Amino acid sequence: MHVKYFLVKTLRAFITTFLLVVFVFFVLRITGDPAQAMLPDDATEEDYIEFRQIWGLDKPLMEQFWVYCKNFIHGDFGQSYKDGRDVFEVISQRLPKSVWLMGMSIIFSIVVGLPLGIYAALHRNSFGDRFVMGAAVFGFSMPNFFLGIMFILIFSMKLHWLPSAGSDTWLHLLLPMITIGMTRMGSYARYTRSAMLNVLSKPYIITAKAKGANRNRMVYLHALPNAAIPIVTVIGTSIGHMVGGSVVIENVFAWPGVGRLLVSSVAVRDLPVVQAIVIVMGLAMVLANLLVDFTYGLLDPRIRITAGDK
Amino acid sequence: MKRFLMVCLMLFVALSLFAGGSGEKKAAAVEEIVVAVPALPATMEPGDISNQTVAMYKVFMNMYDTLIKIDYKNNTGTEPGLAESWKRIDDTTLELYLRKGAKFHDGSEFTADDVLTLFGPRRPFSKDSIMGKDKNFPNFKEVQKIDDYTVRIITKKPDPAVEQILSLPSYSIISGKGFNSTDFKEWQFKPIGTGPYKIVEFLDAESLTLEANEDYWGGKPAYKKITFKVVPEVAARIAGLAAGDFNIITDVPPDMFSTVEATPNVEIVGGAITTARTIYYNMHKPYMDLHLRHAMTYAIDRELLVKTLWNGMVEVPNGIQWPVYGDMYIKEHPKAIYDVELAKKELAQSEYVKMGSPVMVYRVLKDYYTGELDTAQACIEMWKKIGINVEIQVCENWAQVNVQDANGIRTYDLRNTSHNGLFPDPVSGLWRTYKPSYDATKWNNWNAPDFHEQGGILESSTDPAVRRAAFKKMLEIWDANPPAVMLYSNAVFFGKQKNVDWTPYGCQFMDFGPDNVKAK
Repeated sequence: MHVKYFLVKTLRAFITTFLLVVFVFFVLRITGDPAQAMLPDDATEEDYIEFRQIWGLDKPLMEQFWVYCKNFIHGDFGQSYKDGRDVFEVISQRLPKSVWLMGMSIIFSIVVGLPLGIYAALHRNSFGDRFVMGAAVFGFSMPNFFLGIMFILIFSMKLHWLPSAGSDTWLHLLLPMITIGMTRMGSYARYTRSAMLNVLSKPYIITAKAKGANRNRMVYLHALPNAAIPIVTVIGTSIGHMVGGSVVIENVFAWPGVGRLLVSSVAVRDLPVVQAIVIVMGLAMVLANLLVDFTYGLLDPRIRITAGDK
Repeated sequence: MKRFLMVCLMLFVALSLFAGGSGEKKAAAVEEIVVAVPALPATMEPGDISNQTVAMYKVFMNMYDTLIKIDYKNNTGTEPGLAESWKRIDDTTLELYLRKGAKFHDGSEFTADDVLTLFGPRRPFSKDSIMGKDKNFPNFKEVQKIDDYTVRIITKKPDPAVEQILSLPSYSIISGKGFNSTDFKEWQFKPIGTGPYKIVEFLDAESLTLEANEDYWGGKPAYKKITFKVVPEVAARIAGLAAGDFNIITDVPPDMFSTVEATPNVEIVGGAITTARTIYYNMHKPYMDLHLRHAMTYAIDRELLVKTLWNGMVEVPNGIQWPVYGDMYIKEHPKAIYDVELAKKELAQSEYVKMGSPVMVYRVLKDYYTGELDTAQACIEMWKKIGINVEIQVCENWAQVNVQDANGIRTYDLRNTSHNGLFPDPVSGLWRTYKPSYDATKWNNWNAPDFHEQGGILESSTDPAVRRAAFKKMLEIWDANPPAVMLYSNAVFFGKQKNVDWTPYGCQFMDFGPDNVKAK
C-alpha cells in the first residue's frame, strides 16, 4: 500500500520531467535563430551557414530533437554556442553558488519564519502578534528587487557594514540571503500562525492543556506536527519560486549564479545552456514537490493510505 | 523597474547625506582597484570575432599589446607598440622592426614567429579559423618573416591605413607557442599576452582578475591588481561605488550624475567619444524615398536632445568624423539641419504622404546605447509634430530587431546604430560602417554607388590630398542621400573614487597601463 503511494508519485514526477524536456526543446526553437543573436551585425551569409552547420541547426527539427533526446539520456546537454564549453561544465561552475544562496535563504526563512509564526499563534491578538504579522505582510508584499536595493543602500552605502555585490566571502552572502529569505519568511510566519491557531483550538490540545501538559511539549510535540502539512506545502512550493526569484536577485547583487547565467544566455540564444538551466530548475521543482508528497505520506498516514487505495 | 530603482536610489542617497553619511573611504594611495562593468567578453581571446564588442574594449588593452599603438592620451596618431619602428617598402608592403626583449606573461620572448601566428592557422585570417572570420582587414594578403625581429605585412592593394588597422584590439599579439600548444577550450580563457597586466583568473564572464606584469617592456604598471566585476544594474554599480566596494564604475547615464556626485570623494569623468549615434532607414520600404528621409532628418532638434538628455555633455558632430582625424578632418562640413518648415515641405512631396502616412516600426533595444529609449521617444514626438507616424518596438536583442520576412528582408522601418571610429581615420568610422558589405547597403537597400566609389579611393589611395577630397565628397553624399538620421556623438561616463589615478580616453578603451597611469 505504502509502496504504491510512493510509486504513483514517482511516476508522476517522471512524466512531468519528460514533458518538461520535450516542451523546453520545442519552445526554445520557436524563439528565434541563435545564429542571428550570436553572430555580429556584419556577419555574412556564409558565416550564418557555417554557424548553423557547426551546431547542427541546419538539420530538420525532428532530427535535432532525436539527437537532443539521445544526448539527454546520456547526460549530455551539448556545448555552449558562446564559447564551445560543455554545458554541464558551464552550469556546474555556477550551480554551487546558486544552491548555496538558495539553501541558506531557505534555512534563514525557516529558522526565522516558523518560530515567529508559532510565537504569533501563542500570543494571538497581542502587540507581539500584530507586530510579527505586520512585519510578515511587509516581507512578502515587498518585491525582492526593491528590498535588495534598499538593503544595499542602508547596509552598504550608508553603514558600510556589508559588501554590495559579488560572492567572494560569507559577508557577501548576507544581503542576498536576507533579501530572498525575507519574502519567504513572511509567508512562512503567516501560514505557521494560521495552521497553529487551527490546531491549538482542537479538542486534543484543549484536553492536553486541561491535563496540565508541559507547554513546550504540547506545542512542539502535539500541535506543531499536526500543523505541519500546510507549512510543508508552502515551503515546498516556495523553493520553486525562490529559484525563479534568484534570477532577479542575482542581478541586483551581481551574484554569479545560474540565474545570471540564464539571463545572459537567453539574450544571445545560447540554446543548449538555456534548455539545460530550465531543465535543472524544472527538476528542482519536480523534486521539491515529490519530497513534499513523500513528506505528506510520512507526516499523515491517512494521506498515503487514501492515495494508495485509489 | 529600472526607473523605480533609480528613484529609490536617489531618495536614499539624499537621506544618507542628510543623516551625515559619507562614502569617504580609502584615502591612501590605491594599489588595487575594482572596476564594475555591465558585461565582460565571453572569453579573453582577442581574435574571437564574437568578442569584438564594447565589453572587450574595456579590458583588452590592459593584457595585450599590438604591433602599433594609437596615442589616445595625446591624440598624436600612431606610436610604437611591439614594433619599435616601421617603414613602407612599397605601396603594398609594410616592414615592421620588432621590439627586442619584450616578454610574454609566461616569460618567453616575443619574436617574429608570434606575428606569424596572429595571421596563421586557426586564427581569423585563415580558412580553418576557429574564432570567426576577420572583417577589419580585408586587404590583408600575407605576412613574411624576414628574421626573428623583422616582418613584412603585404596587402592586396595599396592601403593607407595599415598602421592604424594593426592597432585594433583584435590584432593583439598572443604567444604563438602558447596558442599552438594549448587546447583552445582552455586557452581562450587565459591567453598569454605581453601587456602591462596578466590574467590571474577569468571566472565565466563574471569577473576578471589581473595582476601587474612587473617585466612589462613599457614600464611599471601603476596597480598591483585590477579586478573587473560584472554588475549589470546601474543602480547597484552606483551603490557599490558609494559604498567603497568599487573604485571605478562604467556606463553611468547622465541623469544619474547628481546621484553619483552626492557622495563625497566620488566624481564623474568621461565625455564624448569618437562614436556617432544614428538611426538607420530601411530603404526597402516603398515610402522611404529621399523626401521622407530628408524630412525625418530635418525634424530632429539635436541640440535639444543633447541639452535635455545629455546635460549638454555631448556634441552634434558635423558628419561621421572627429577632430582627432587631424588633416583628414573636414572642419567646414556643416552639421545636420534642423528646420521644421523645411521638413514639412519635404514630407509633403514624399511617397509616404501619398501612401496615407502609414505607421512606421522603429525597433530599439532597452538602452544598449546610453539613453537609447529616451532618445527614441523624443524623436518620435518630433516626427509626430510634422505628421510622421512612428511606433516604437522595444526588443530584447539584435535578432529581434533584425527580424526578416519570407524574402529575407528586414522588417523594421527604423533601427538604431552607431559608428565607432576605432582609430583616427575615416576608414575606421564612415567607410567601415557604410561600405557595401555593411548594413546600409547590404540590409537597408541604400543605393549609393558614388559614395562607394569615393570610399574605394579613400581606402586605397596613399595620397593624403586625394583621400581628403574623397572623404569630403563622401560626407556630402551621405547628407544628400542619407542612409540614416544623424543624432549626436556618443559619450561614455564613469563614476570614480577621486583618489584613483586614471583618466579615460576619448574612446571606449580603458587603459590602466603605464601609457595612461604612471606608477608612483
